[in-house]
Amino acid sequence: MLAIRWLCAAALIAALCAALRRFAHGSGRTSRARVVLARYASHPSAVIALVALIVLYVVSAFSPWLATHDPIEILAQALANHPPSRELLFGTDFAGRDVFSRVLYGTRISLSVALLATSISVVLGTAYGATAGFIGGTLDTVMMRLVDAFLSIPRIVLLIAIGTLWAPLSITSLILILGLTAWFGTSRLVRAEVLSLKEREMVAAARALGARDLAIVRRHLLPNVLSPVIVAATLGVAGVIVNEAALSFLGIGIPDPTPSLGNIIHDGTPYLATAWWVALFPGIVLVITALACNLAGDGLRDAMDPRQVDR
Amino acid sequence: MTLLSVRDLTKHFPITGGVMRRVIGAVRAVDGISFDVAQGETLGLVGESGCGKTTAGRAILRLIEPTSGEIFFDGTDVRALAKEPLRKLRRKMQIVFQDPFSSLNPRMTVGASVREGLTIHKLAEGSAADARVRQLLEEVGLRAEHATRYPHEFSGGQRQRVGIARALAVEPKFIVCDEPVSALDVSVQAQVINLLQDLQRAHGLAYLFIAHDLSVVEHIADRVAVMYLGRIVELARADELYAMPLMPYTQALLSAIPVPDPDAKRERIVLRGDVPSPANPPSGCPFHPRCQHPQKDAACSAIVPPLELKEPNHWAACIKQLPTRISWEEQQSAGATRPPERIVPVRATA
Repeated sequence: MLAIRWLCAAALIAALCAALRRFAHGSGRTSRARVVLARYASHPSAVIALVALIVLYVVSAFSPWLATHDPIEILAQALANHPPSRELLFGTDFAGRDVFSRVLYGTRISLSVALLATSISVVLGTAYGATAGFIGGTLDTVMMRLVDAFLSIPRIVLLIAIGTLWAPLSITSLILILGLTAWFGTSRLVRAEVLSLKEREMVAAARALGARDLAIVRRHLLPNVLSPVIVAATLGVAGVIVNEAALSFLGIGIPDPTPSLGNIIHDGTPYLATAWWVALFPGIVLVITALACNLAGDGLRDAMDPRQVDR
Repeated sequence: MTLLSVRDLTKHFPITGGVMRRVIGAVRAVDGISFDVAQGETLGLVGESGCGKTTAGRAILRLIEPTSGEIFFDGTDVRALAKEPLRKLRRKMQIVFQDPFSSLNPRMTVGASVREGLTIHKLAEGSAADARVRQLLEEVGLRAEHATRYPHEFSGGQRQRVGIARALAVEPKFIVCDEPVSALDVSVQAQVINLLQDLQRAHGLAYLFIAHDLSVVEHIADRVAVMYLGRIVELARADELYAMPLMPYTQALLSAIPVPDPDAKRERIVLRGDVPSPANPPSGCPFHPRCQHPQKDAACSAIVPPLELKEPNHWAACIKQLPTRISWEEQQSAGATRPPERIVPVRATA
C-alpha cells in the first residue's frame, strides 16, 4: 500500500517537471517567463533544489495519507526509543511516538509556518520599502533609520525575547512573530529598487500621461521589483524554517505535542547517544529544506538577473 | 496662433553641502528662457549635452517643477495649476523620450502601454479601447497584432514608435520630442522623423523638438532656438539661422556639421575648452571664454548680452554683432577696446 502511495507522489512530481519543461521550451515567441525558466533550467543544482522542494511540499501535503502512525499517539510505553525497523521506519522517540509520522507532520507544520510568515514579511516589507522609496525625503530617512534600528538587533535574540514574554505561543502568534521580524531586509531591497526605478523614463511617461501616484506604484514600480522580491522570499523561507526550528528547539516555538522539525530534534537531543534516530532524521529533512530553499533562491536570482533579461 | 508661451523659465537645482545639508549654491540648468510655439509649428531646441534643453522640456510639462517663470498653454497658466487640473491638462501636452529602452515598462505589453492614457483619461474602454490601440499602432507604422508583445521583442526604432503611439493616444496638441532619434541608427532616424512629420500634418500637432544634432533639426523644425548654458542665445527661422547664424556659438556649431563632399571648401571653427559648469557660469556673456568673434574684448565678460532682434524675426545674444542695444559708449565704460562688427562666416555647401 505504502509503495503505491509513494509511486503516485513520484508520478505527480514527474508530470509537474515535464509540464515545466514543455512550458520553458515551448514553441512560438519568447515571453519573459520562458526566458527565465529556460535559464533556471540550465542550473543543475537549482533544478535539483526545486525538485526537492516540490517533493517535500507534496509529501508534507499528503502526510495524513503517507503517515504510518498517528504522530502524537503513544504507541506503547515499551516501544520508547525503539530503533528504526521495517514497521517503524525512523524508530520511536522517548515517549514511544513514531518518528517517521512525526517528521512528515512536522515538515508540514514547519513549511506552513515558514510560507505564511514569509508571505506576511514580503507584503509588509514591500509596502514599507515602496512607500519610503517612492515618497522619499524626510519620511524615507525616518523610515529607513527605524529599519536600521530593528536590523541592529540579532533576530534570534529578538525572537527569544518575544517568545519568552508571551509563552506559550499558539501557532498563529508564532507565524505573526516570525513574519513581523523578517521584513526589514525586504523593505531595504524594495526601497533601493524603487529609488532607481522611479527615475526611469517610463515613470516620467506615466506621469506625463496623467497617472496618479498610486497607479504609478502599482502598474510601473511593483511589477518591476517583483523578481528580487521573489528571490528574497525564497531565501527568506529558509531563514524562517531555521528560526522556527531554533525556537522550537529552545522550547518556545510550536507547543508540544504538535510536531515540528525543531521540537522533534529537541525531543531527541537528550538521547543522542542511545537513540540517535530521533534527532537525525528531522535534522536531515531540515538541512535539505533549508539548502533547497537557498539553492532555488540563488538559481532564481541568476535566472531573473535584469541585466541579462531586460534588453 | 500661439499655443505655448514660455517666459523667463528657470530651473535651478540646489547644491547642498556640509552636515546640515545647507544650500551652498545652485546649478542653473535653465536660466531664464522665453519662447513661443504656435499651433502646428515645430520649434527646434538645440545645444550641447548639459546645456539644459532636456530640463527645459520637462519643466514645461512640469515633470520637473520650475524654479520661476511663466508657462501659458492654450491660455492656461500651467504653473498655477493644482495637481488635479494639471493631471487633466496633461492630456493636451505629451512627451516622447530619448531612450526607447527605459521609457517603456518591460512588464507591460506595448498594447497595455499605449492603452494606459486611454484608461487614465477615460477616453475609451473595453473593445473600443482595443480598437483604438490597434488603430494607433498602425498609425505609427506597427502592426495591430504587435499589441500583445513585450518591449524586449522590438528594435529601438519600433519601441520609439510605441512611445509615439502612447503619446498620441490621448490626442495631444503639443508634444515635447526629447531627442527622439538620438539613440537610433541613422537609417531609422529618418523613418522616425518622417513619421513625426506625417503625424504633425495629420493631427495639427505642435512640437518642441529637442536635439543636439543640427542637421536633424534643419530637416524638421520651422524655427530653431540655440541654447548654451541654460540660456537661449539665438532664435530664428530655420532656413534663416542656417543661412546667416549671428551668434558666434551657432556659427561654430554649424561649421561642425559634416558636409558630404570631400572637396568642399570649408572653414571649421574649432571651439576651445569645455562647456563651463552651470553651477559656476562665466560672468557676462556665458560663451565669452570660448568665443571666436574677432571683436571679443573685456566688455564681453562684463555685460550679459540681451537676446535682441538683429534681423526681422531673428534674435541673437551678442553685443559684438550689429545691431545692438548696448551702445559703444556703454561697452567702452565696461572696458571694451574693439567696436562691434557684423561677422558672418561663409557656410560650406555640398
